[in-house]
Amino acid sequence: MKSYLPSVYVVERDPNRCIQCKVCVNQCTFDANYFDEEEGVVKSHEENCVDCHRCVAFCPTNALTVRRNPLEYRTNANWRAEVIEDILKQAETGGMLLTGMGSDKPYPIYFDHLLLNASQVTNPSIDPLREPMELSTYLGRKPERVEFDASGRVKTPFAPQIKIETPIMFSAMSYGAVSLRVQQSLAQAAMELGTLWNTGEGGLHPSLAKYASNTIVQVATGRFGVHSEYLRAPQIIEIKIGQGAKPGIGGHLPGEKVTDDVSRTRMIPMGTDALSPAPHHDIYSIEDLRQLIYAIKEATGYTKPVSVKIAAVHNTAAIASGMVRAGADIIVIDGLRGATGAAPKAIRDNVGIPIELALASVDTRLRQEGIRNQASIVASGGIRSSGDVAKAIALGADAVNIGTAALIALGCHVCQQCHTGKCAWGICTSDPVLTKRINPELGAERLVNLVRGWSLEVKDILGGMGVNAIESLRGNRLHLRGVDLTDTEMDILGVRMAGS
Amino acid sequence: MKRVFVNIDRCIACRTCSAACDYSHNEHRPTIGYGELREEVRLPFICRHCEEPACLAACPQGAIKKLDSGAIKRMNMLCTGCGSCAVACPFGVIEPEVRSYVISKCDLCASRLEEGREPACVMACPADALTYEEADEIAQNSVMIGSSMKGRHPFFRRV
Repeated sequence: MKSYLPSVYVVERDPNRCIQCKVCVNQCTFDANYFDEEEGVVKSHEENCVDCHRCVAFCPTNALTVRRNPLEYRTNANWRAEVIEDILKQAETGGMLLTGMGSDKPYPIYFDHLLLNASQVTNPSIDPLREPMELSTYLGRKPERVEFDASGRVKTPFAPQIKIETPIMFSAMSYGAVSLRVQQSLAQAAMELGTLWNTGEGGLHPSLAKYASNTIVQVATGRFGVHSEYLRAPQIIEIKIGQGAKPGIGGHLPGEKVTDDVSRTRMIPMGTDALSPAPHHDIYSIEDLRQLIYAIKEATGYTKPVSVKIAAVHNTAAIASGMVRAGADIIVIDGLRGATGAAPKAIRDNVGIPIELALASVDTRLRQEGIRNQASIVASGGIRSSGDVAKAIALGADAVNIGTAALIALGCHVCQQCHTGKCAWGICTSDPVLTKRINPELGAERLVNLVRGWSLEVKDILGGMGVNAIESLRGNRLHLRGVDLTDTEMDILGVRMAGS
Repeated sequence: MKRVFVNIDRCIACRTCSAACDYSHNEHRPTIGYGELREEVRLPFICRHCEEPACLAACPQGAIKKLDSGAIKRMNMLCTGCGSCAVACPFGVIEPEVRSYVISKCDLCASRLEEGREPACVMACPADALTYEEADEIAQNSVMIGSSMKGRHPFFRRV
């Protein structure tokens, strides 16, 4: 049956500016622009446009712009355009609707309702341009107390600690989902910044082994590419239980994307679908998790912290408590707005809870139980700016992961077409022609610029508060005030109303 | 002399340089061609401004001249569009298509250089693949491709 879907975007081409150079045709990976040989002019298949801005950015004469199709459905607060179009799409295909990136639904963003404090009169603020500011963070299990011997040396044995120069790390993005060039950019940037990047579940490509000192490797449900060297190489080993964009759902890398290189790295036959099961089939309880954590610790001689990543769901606080007791040295919580390469739309937009609430409740719970020192908390999923970083740290995070923000630094325009594998910006694709659009050197430079800029801003925020170390802000919710929040929300976040 | 160099690791074959070349030369439309070797190597063909230009030797009208700056310039009024230069060029950078009885030929954006700006293709490149610089500068940390021919190496690869 004919598609009844109207085009969502319209490509507007200024005929006075267009020189028919075909750059837009060449750049569009969704076949939205084409050259009409008969008429000798560039035209658009607007129904294919996904608003990724690649053609707009590349048009040498600025002749292009993309707008939302002004076509209006009959006003209806219930049956909105998106709802109608989803039903039309589903009626046409009969499958699950897939999508990419994080949830785009207008769920409350609590970061935007939290405000940070600054020093005035009664205590001095600090100028970070003149005085040193400490952003370095140590990830790993901390002892109950520290004892010194007679000569003043630390006597207490420490679990392995990983030092990062800034509390901003790169989220897990696997080879296969993103291209190797993106991973190279992340790894090189992490090395320059003294922070960590994460391989995701797709294994560690041999060409990235040289960045081992700044790598986190993931052991996920599919156990792709896990072998003894893989566990021995990195700084931290992460067990991935869930992902914020699709809690409780596994992954599916289509066979076309499993090229020779991907198949070697993932250790699966070429051209086969890489299916990550939804659960770890050997983890059905906290005790089982403990077995896996200690199996990994045993395999690496207790030299590396083991991190456990979960999606933020309703009982996150209780689960986190169990994880810490199971031996996790770092817990990573991925919120509702965390992104993905591909997820069913129904899951992405409806499952999970916002990171701010999950983070605050986990921190509160671990403190109440007196085990907060036993694990570092990493917050991820929806960190958009240095302000968000500072607020997450004040809510109790030791560090944050940035994924979408890092991809945006590489050129991503958040068009949510990651699942198509046709990324026009060359990020979420394995097509060798498209991946060339990311240059690892230039990409790393942009990532370094972004994180350096954020770090400077975090230092400024700290200076304004009159503290000179990120440690003084960590979990210090007195530096936060809420606006436009209910009593219950402020109670869970552990903050007071602005003005009180 | 300064030339336009192509970093083949960075070029994404978007042809923005070609478009920029096009609209900055309204009258004669010099064009930049493209070559693709497998999927990895793709590069624009830009005039190398050879030290011993074959096009100059081949032109029966004497329309191609070497300027003091080293740039190879085609004198439009003399060109008859016979295409000899396009046939003679060992690098295929001269577009053989005949337009308005003149052959398209890179002039290194002479008018832009006078204003102190870089050639249009270099300014337009979104991937930082094109550079306008001295051959010696670029030789220090890259591998030339085609460097066996003296002074004829506009492609390089970072090492």
